[in-house]
Amino acid sequence: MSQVNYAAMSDEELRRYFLQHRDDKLAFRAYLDRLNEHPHKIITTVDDPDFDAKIQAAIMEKMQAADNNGDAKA
Amino acid sequence: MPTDTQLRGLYRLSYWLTYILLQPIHLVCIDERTNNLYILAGNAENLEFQITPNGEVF
Repeated sequence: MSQVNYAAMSDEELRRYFLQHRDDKLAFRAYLDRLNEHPHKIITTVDDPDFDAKIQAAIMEKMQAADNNGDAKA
Repeated sequence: MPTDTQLRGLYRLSYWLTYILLQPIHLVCIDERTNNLYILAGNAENLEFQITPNGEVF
């Protein structure tokens, strides 16, 4: 495989690329490095009694954000 | 291998995503550098989660 320039890809392009090239571990690592550069907001912990409610709220928020960005597939 | 805590978190997340919200899961794997469990899901491939070995979900 020829050298792939991950840095030239947008986040979305890189995500799509590693999904389509599962054998390319470097692409996946490059994507995770990019993801982990951003500060994380801890949603919950596995043993939190409110796990379900917090997960549901976080998922709804992410889905809402995607809709607003027009990212969601038609 | 994921920790027991990560597996419990994965089950609960999978349940919410697939059973309640009807969202597909595309990829589940461990980042062997951080040992975080990574999950990519969603119709628009836009739902991403990581579960740390001690059970933090972000």
